[in-house]
Amino acid sequence: MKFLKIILPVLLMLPLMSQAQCRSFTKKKCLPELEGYVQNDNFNSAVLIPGDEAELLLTFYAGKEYRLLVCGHPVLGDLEFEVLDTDDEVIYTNIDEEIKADSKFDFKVATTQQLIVRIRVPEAESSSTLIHEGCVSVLIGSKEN
Amino acid sequence: MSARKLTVFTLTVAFFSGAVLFSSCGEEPKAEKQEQMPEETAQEVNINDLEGASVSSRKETIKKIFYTIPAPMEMASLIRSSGADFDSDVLNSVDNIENYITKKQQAINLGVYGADLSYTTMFERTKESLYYFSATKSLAEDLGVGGIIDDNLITRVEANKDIKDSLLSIVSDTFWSLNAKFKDDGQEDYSALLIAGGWLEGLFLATNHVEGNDELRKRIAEQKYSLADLVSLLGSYENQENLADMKADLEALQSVFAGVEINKEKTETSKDENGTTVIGGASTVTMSDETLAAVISKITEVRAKYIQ
Repeated sequence: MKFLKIILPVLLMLPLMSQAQCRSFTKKKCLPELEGYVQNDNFNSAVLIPGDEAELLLTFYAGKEYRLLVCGHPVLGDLEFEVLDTDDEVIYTNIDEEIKADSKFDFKVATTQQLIVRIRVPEAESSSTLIHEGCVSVLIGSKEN
Repeated sequence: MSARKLTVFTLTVAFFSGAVLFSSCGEEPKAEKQEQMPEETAQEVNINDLEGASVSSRKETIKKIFYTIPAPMEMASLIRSSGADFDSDVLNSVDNIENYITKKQQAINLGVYGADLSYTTMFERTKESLYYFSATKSLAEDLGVGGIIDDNLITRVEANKDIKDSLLSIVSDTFWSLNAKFKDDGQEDYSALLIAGGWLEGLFLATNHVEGNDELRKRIAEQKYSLADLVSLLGSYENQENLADMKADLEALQSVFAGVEINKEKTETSKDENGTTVIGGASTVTMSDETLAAVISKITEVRAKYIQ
């Protein structure tokens, strides 16, 4: 009973610990990938599990060069993401065997527009009953063209 | 990630849960435990990689929506690249900091000063940038997130004060960290107010340089997009108590921006000479003189309400 009293709060704290760790994880593992770009100061990060989806809508300005970085904890596997226009037309996808591991998309914008980034955490390959969760951060850096 | 690696990860999480559990009982520190891991296991799962992952208590999948808007730094960059000249008179005076008593005022004006800091940095005005960095630090301390702007950061600012790109990077890193800290601490409403304050100030600064500047006029008109995203951002939080006024003011501004006409045609993509994707397509954004005047009047009114 005493053991349960100790272990239960720890188990309940695990997801909270993970959430609190997202900022540190993103800072250490993801932000360095934006070197050379000025990062957007919004913090777009969430703790996701296999099968989860995330979506981000953002305005991109004409004449700028952008780096989109979809950065997830390795426990979630290779994240899939697409960039779509507001008519839901796919502009870019990393769901391609050759480039699937690529978490970055560098592009330029000729006319200011809103784009949608759609992310999917792949289903777990393991038959384990334990479900792993990990941080997923969407980062956008910009620089002059 | 293979099933074997996942199993190793699970065991490692369990191992660390145990380490957390028993650390108060005089067990060895975690770092020493890490060094004692078998070499093969340590190679498969770097212990440091446990940060940001855990075992989930959730089974149902979700769809997470991120609402985000361009950073004030981008607006400052647009102002600079449009050929506008620096004007210190349009900034919110750092002397006003004494007026910001409530957390709500402090969060909004942290964003306002952040936009001013972006503007001074973009125009390489070192002296003014240091003033605004100091004001930012002061408000961050009032809001309980002063740890983000610690002595090390101040030293970095001092050391890089004349290197524009480094200072731009420090400013954007700082505001990203402030936003993240608010969210970590469950103060998402302060994060939203910071973002809203920064956007308002960025638009205000742009309107003060728009006369005779067609490029900037177009950029101001394009803020119709970002404003819609900002209103959605504020509406996405459960705790609306601190956000209601700001949301109402932004919606009033949105009704003025309704006069901006956007004609969007099919998006087109191509590659430039370096193989980089270029996203374009014909789209026109038009704003009449009357609409521009109404935007200037409204943003001036709303901004004055929050910075006084």
